[in-house]
Amino acid sequence: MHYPWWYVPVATGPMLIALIATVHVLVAHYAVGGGFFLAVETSFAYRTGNQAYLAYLRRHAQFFILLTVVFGAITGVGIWWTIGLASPLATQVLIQTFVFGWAMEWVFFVLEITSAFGFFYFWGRLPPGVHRAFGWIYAWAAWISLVLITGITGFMLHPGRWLEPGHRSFWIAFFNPQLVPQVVARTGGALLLSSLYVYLHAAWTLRHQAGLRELVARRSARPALLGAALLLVGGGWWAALLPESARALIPAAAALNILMTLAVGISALVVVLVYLGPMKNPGWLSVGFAGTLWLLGLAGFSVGEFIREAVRKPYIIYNVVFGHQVFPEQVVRMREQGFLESGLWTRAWMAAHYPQVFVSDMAATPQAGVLPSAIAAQEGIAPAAFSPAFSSSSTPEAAPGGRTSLAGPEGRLSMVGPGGRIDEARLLQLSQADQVQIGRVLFMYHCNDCHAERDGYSPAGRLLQGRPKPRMVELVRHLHEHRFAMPPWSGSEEEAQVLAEYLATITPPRPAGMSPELGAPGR
Amino acid sequence: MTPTFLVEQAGGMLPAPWWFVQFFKVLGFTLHAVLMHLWYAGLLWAMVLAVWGSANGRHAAGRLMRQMPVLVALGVNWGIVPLLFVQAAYARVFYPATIYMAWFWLGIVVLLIPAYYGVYIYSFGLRRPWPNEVPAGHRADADSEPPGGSGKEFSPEGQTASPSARPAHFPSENGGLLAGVVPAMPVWRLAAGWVSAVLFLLIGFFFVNGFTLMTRQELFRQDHWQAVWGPHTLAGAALGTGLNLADPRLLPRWLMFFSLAWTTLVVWWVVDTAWRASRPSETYRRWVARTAWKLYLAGAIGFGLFGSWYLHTWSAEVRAAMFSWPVGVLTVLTAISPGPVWLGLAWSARQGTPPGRALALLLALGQLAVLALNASSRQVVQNLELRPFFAVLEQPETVQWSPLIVFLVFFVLGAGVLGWMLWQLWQYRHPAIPSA
Repeated sequence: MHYPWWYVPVATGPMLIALIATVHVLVAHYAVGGGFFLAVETSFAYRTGNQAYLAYLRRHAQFFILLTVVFGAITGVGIWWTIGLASPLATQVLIQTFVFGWAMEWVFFVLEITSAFGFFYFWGRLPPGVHRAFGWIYAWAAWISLVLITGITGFMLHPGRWLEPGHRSFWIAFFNPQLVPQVVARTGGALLLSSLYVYLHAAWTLRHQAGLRELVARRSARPALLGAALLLVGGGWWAALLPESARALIPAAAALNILMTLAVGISALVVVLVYLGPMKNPGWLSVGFAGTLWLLGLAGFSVGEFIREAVRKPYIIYNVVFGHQVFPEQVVRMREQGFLESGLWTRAWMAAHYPQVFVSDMAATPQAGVLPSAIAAQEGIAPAAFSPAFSSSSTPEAAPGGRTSLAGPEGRLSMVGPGGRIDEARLLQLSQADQVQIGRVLFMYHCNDCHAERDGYSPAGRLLQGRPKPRMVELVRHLHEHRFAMPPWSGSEEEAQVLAEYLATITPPRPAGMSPELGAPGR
Repeated sequence: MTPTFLVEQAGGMLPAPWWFVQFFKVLGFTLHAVLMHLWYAGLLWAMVLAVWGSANGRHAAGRLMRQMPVLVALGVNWGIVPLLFVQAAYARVFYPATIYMAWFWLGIVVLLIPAYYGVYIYSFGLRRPWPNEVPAGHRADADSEPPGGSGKEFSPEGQTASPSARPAHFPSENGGLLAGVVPAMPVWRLAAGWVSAVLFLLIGFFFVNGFTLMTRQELFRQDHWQAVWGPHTLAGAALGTGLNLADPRLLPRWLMFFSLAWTTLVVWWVVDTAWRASRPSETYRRWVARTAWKLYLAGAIGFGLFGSWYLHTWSAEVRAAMFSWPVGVLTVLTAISPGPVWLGLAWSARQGTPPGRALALLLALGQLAVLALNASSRQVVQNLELRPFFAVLEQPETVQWSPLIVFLVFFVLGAGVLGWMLWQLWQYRHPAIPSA
C-alpha cells in the first residue's frame, strides 16, 4: 500500500518472480556444485597427471563460465529486479534488514568472478598449485554466497525469534530456524544437480572417448549420491522446522500435495538412475541417458522451489508482510479507515476519479464509535495473531525494543491529499457501474498478487464460479477464515461489498446441468 | 498551495549511517562507471572500427572486444553496490519510479542476457589473429595474453589455428554483402557484436529513464496523478508501460553520460596499450598517441555541451544550490575535471612518443577522479531534486553496527584475496613456454 501495484495480465507479477527465480536456481546450484567439481577434479587430474582429463575439465570450465557467469549471474540480478517491481514493500523490508548480508555476498561475488575467469583464462599459465587454489577460492566463495542468500530466503519463510519483542537484529534474522536445514538441502542439491550437468556435458563432448567418459561418470557419481543424502536430510529438517501454517498447507492444497509427491518421486528416481547408471554401469552414460537424468533433475528442482515459495502463503515474509503488501499490524486500522483510504496510490486514484466520496476530516465518521480493537474482537482477530512483534507494545506506534514499527506511527499510512478522507458510506451510494470500477481497484491491490482476474494464474473468476454475490461478500469479509492461506480482509465493510460487485462481473455462473438443482442462486 | 506527494513519510529506517550509505553509493557507482563506460561507448566504437577502421583501428577494437566478457561480468557485479544502497535509502521513490516503467525496467535484465552472449560470440570470433587484424610491424601471435587470448590458447578444440585455417564461409572470401569491408569475422558473429552494442545503448537509455523518473516531482504529485499515471494504469494498477520521455533532463543526461563514457574509453585504450603484456609495435603505439588526445577532446567537448544542456534543465533551486558555496566548488571541479587528463594526452602526443606506463597510470587515476567527481555531483543533485518531497538525509537511522563491521572485515579480507589473485595473474600473464 506504500507503493503502486504492478498489473501483469494473466500471469500476475509474483509469478514472474517464481519464473525467474526457478530458472535462476537451476543454474545457481550448478554454479556452486560445479565449482567443487572443478576444484576437486582438477586437483585429481593434476595429481594423477591425467592430461586427457585436464583437457576435458578445461572444456567444461568454458561451458561452466558461459552458463553461470552470464545466464546465472544475470538471472540472479533479474530476481532482484523482479521482486522490487512485484513485491516492493517486502523487498524494502528485506533490504533494510539484510543490507549488509547482501553487501557481504557482493564481496564473495567479486571473488567468484575473478577466480572463475582466472581459473579458465589462465589455464596452462598458472602453476598447478596456484591454479588449484583459484578453483578452491571459487568453490568456497560460491558456497558462502549460497549460505548468505539462504539466510535471507530462510528468513522469509520463518523469521523465528526476530518476531519476538526486542529481537530485531540482523543476526537473529540471519540465523533463523530455516537457515541450517536449507543450507544442508541446497548444498546437497548443488552437488547432485551439478553432477547431472557434468553428465550431460561429458556425454556430449566425450561421446567418442568412452574411457574418459566413464571416468567422469564414475567420479561424479559419489558427489551426486552424497548430495542426494544431504538433500534428504536437509529436506526433512526443512519440513520439520516449517511454521505450522506452512506445514499445514502442503497436505491441504491438492496441487502442493501432488507436487510434493512429484518432488520426492523424481528425486528418488534420479538417485536410483545415478546409482544404477554412472555408479555401477558408467558405460550407460549416453547423451540420451544423461539428458533424461538432467531433465529429471531440473524438473525435481523446479517443483521443489515452487513448493518452497508456495508454502509461505499468505505472506511474502512470514508474519511480517502479507502478499498484498500490507503489514499485519496495519490490518485492524485499515478495516477502520478503509483500504482505499489507507493506501497512498489507491487514494490518489480515488481522488482523481471520485472526488465526491471525499469529505473533510471533521465530517467523516467512518465506523463511528467503533475502535479498532472492537472491530478486531468482532472479527475474532487479535493484532497479536498477525504480528507478535508489535503486540506487546503499550503504544501502537512503537514496536518492541523502542524501535519504530515498520508500518509507521499507529501502524497506518500517513494521510495525504486535499479533500479530507473517503467516506466509506458514500461508496455504496455510487452507481453499480462505479462500484464495479472501484471494486476492480480493490481487486488489483488486494487480490492480484495471487490471482488473475477472469483467466490466467489462479483466476478469481474461475475459483468463485457459481458463487452468489451475498456469499462473495461473506467470503471477502472473512477471507482468512475461509482459508488460512488467504490474508485477512483489510478494508471496510462497504469496500467488501464493492469488491463483491466487481467479482460478480468476472465470475461465470454455476455450470448448467449439475445435479441436484437446488434453485438458481441469486446474483 | 503546497502540493501533496505520494511518498510514504512514516516508518522505514536506514540500516547504516547516512554518510556510509552515500559514500558506498558514490564509490560503488564510480567503480561501476569505469567498466560500464567501456561497454556503453566501447562496443559501438569497436564495431565501427571493426567494419570501417584501419588495420590499427581493427586491432584496437579487437583488443577491447577480447577483454569485453570480463569487463561486462565485473561491471555488472560492481553495479550491485550502488543499486543495493539506492534500495536501502531511496526505496520510497525508487520503487514507484521503476514500477511506472516496469516492463522497460525488467527489459534491462532481459536485454542484458543476449547483449552479454553477443559479446561472447563476437569475442570468441577474435580468437584467431588474422593477418589483416594485426597492425604493421606487429607479430601476429604476440597478442595472446588473456582474456580472450589467441587462437593457440583458446580455439574450441584446443588446437592452434593458423591463418590458413580460415573458414571458407568468411564473407570477404565468399563475396557476401560485406565483402571487402569486413575483414575477418563471420557475418553472424559481427551481427552479434552490433546487436550487443545497440542493446547496451538501449539498456543505458532505460537506466537514465529510471533514475530521472525517481527524482521527477510530477510522478509523485497527487494533483498530477491523472496526467502522469492515468494513461499507464488499469484500475489504479500500474501497467508498467511508462517512460520519462517528457522529462527535459532525459536526453542531455543520456548524451552527457555517453560523452563521459567516451573519455573513459580513450583512457582505457591508452592504459591498455602502455600496460599490456605483449608490447605492441612502435607504429601502433605512435598511432595511439596521435589519435587518443583527439578522441578524448571529442568526448570532453560532448561532455561540456551536453552537460551545459543538462544543467539548464535543473530547477532554479537545484541550480542555486549547486552554484552556492561550498557545493559550487564541486560543480566547477566536475566541469573542468576532464581538462588535466586531456592535457596529459595532448602533451604526450606533442612529444611524439606514446604515453609510458607511469603517465598512463597517472591518466587512469585522473580519469578515476573525473568519474568520482561526477558521481559525487550526481549524488548531490539527486538529493537536492528529491528534497521537496523526500528528505533522504533526514531518515531515521537504526544502524546495524555489528553486521557493518563484519562486512568491512569481509571487504578487507576479500580485497586481500583479490589482490593475491591479481598478483598471480600478473605474474603468469605470459603464455607458458611449451616443453620440448
